[in-house]
Amino acid sequence: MSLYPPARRALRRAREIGVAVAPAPRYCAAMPKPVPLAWCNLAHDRVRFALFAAGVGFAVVLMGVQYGIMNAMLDSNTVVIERLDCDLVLVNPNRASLLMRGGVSQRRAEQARAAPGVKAAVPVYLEYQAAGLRHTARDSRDRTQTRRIRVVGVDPESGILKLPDVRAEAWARLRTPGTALYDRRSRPHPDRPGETVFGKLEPGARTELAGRDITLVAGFDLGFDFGTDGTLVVSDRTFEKWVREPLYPLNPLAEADLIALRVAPGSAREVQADLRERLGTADVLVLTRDELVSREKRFWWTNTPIGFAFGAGVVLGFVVGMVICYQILASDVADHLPEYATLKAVGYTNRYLSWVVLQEALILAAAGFVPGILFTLGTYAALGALTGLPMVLTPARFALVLALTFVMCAASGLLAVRKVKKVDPADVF
Amino acid sequence: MSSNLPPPGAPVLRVRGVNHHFGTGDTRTQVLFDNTLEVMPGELVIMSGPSGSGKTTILTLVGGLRTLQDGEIEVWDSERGDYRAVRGADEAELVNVRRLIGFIFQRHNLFDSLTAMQNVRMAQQLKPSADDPDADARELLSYLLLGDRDISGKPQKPRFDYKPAALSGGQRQRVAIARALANRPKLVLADEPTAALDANSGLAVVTLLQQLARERSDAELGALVRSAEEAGENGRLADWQLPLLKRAAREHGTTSLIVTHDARIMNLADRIVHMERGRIESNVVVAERLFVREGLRQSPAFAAILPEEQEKIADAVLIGVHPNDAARPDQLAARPGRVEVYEKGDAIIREGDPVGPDSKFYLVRRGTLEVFRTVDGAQKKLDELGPGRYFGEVALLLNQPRNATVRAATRAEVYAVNRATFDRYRDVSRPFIDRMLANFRAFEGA
Repeated sequence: MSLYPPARRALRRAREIGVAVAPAPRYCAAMPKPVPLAWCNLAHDRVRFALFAAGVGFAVVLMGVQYGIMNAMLDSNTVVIERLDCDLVLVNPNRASLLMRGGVSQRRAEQARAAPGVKAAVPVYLEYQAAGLRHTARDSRDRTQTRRIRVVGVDPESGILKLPDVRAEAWARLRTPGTALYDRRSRPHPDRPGETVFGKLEPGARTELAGRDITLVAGFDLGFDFGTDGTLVVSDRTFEKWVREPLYPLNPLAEADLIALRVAPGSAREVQADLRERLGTADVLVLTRDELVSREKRFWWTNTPIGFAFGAGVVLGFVVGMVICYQILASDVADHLPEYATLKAVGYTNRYLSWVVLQEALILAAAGFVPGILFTLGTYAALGALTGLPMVLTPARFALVLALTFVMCAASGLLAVRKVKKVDPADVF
Repeated sequence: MSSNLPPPGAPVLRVRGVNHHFGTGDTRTQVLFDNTLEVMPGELVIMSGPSGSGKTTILTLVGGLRTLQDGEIEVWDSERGDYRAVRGADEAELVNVRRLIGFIFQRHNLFDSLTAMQNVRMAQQLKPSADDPDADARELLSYLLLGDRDISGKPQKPRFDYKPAALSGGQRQRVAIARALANRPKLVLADEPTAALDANSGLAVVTLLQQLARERSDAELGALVRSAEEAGENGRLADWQLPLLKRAAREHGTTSLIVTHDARIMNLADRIVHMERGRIESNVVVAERLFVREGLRQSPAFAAILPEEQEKIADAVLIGVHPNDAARPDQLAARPGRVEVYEKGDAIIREGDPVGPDSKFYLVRRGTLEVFRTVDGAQKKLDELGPGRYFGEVALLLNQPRNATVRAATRAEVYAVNRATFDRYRDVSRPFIDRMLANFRAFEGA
């Protein structure tokens, strides 16, 4: 709801556009105020106007929700990266997505640590495939099947993972092997409200990670994706013993999945360039955190149908909105054909009439956008609660939906304008 | 904004050789045939003729609403002090022409989403105005009986902020008229402007158009303020409308071209243009027709015939120029043989000239003529003839040589009625002619 004021401002501005703007101001110098023809035409029939706005709003909802789901899908894969408190990240170039395998040698971490400007190099361990979590409650009814879970292993003292509601003592307790932090926003249980698919997760609960007992220490809020149903955060020691040793018995932590680097403030770009030179590009990629986020999103965008499916949804919403908006404007023009012809006959230019239609389009856009975006935000909240997907409308995304709405209306306005241009002023006699 | 009229004698609207076709290919039909028309500043021109005769097409061409295919149309732009040509004008120039003109359409075509005031303002916004346009629009609407008083002065609810849906047909039409006149165009094109109006508002509209054309005396206007019984179907004005009328029409010289069948307007016309099948069949300056008719009526040769017949004879010699104005050579050439021009000292007829089939009867249009006869070998001036006087009928009636010489004392224009026309009415007027001839012979004998 924090986005409401900008939306209101946008509406007000659009109204101002509709009310106060008229072309050919040189003719209006001495006029009290120009007639807001576009606004009057729309506001004349309030019921019709409300229906029109609803039509445009529907398109806004269609676009907004599709776009939101698409973003949520993409965001869900990068939530872990975005929680890293670091400037640069070393990652294996062959690892197209975090979901895959491929690590960075610990030697690289040593080398990076030795480079000028690097304040810390912290290995981060990730496991998507091998780890499963199972609730081992005493009451057999509370036990659950093993489900895949995302496991993040970090040095509890490094503070590399930003989990705001996890207190220092919880991090300290994590140093004990066999303890873990759990995600309160793991996939909810379909039948038991308040429980996750892993059963009832709470501090002190005893569960089984990758077949070995583990005790939950504290919870945090993250969210799941469609690869896994939740996330556990463990210490690097626990990660080694529980997750990696069964697979790599000889040297379980020879490679880290990511190496997070902290650098002196403001020097990320320089250090990045310097590290690329020092480390080469053969087995390690030096990226800023944001670059890693977009790399990850790009992978999901190009290698899965998410982008296409929901992008198509957005396009569909756009097209539907354009058709609705065009229908509205074209019928409005058709209804007023003799009047437009009269205006032409008394000396109004095509430019003015086009501008009137365009103004109507922009007013419709504003009038449809406000309720549309509010409804979209409501839908986001509902979907987020239902699916655990991170449905977020960032200012940039808000701006995009707003821009799409105005482009949609303006484009259909321009289509409708052609009708006005064809009006023959001789018809009025 | 000074009223910048065309130079004296020059028209405000010039239409020359206009042809127009509708359709293309096989369906191409010609609807206008070589139409030529000049309209002087301040004239109230009525276009008459059956439907389909091309009146409206001419109006749309003059107004720059249609592309002119053939011929020339020029409209005087008082702001620029020059003519704007419609021929070959691009869309932008046509827009300029349209802005010179006030259109009153048969259908009112008001925006139903705008109030009466806003509809008027749509027109006002096209032109900068130093005055308070709001007040002006209100006065104009009040004068047209849409303000806070009705014709009998009783308070009523002003219709300024009514939308068209809340107005009657006549009220909408009056709003449309206010919109057309809001910018005080120098040329008004109207298609049945009073068709939907009651007698009183019809009169208000026509009086306004007239007042915009030229200043009228208080007595003239005062005569329109009358009781309902007196007014009858002609309508009346209220005395409170007069100051509004004068303020609304501070400037004069507006020309109106009105397509109408409304007899009330017909009577006020300065010029009546009659069209048939795409041609201007007659183009009559009412004052000129009256002038010629009055002149003919004085003559015994035509005194006894029906007024309609007098009118036909008159129409055969009219040149479409007000008798107060000198005719230009091109106007004379457009209607050859109707008016002859003589310079000072030129003889129009000479004593003793034989009378033949080409001999004519004359009516003085402008200038002064002198009549001489040889008496005892000397030229004796018998008479001086001014505008409206006739001469040359005796010789035609008696079939004798001319009995006097008529010379131009100043530059003179005379209407010439040919012998054939003259002879056609001889029999009808026989008794009068005989009496006149008896008088004449008595005079001659004396």
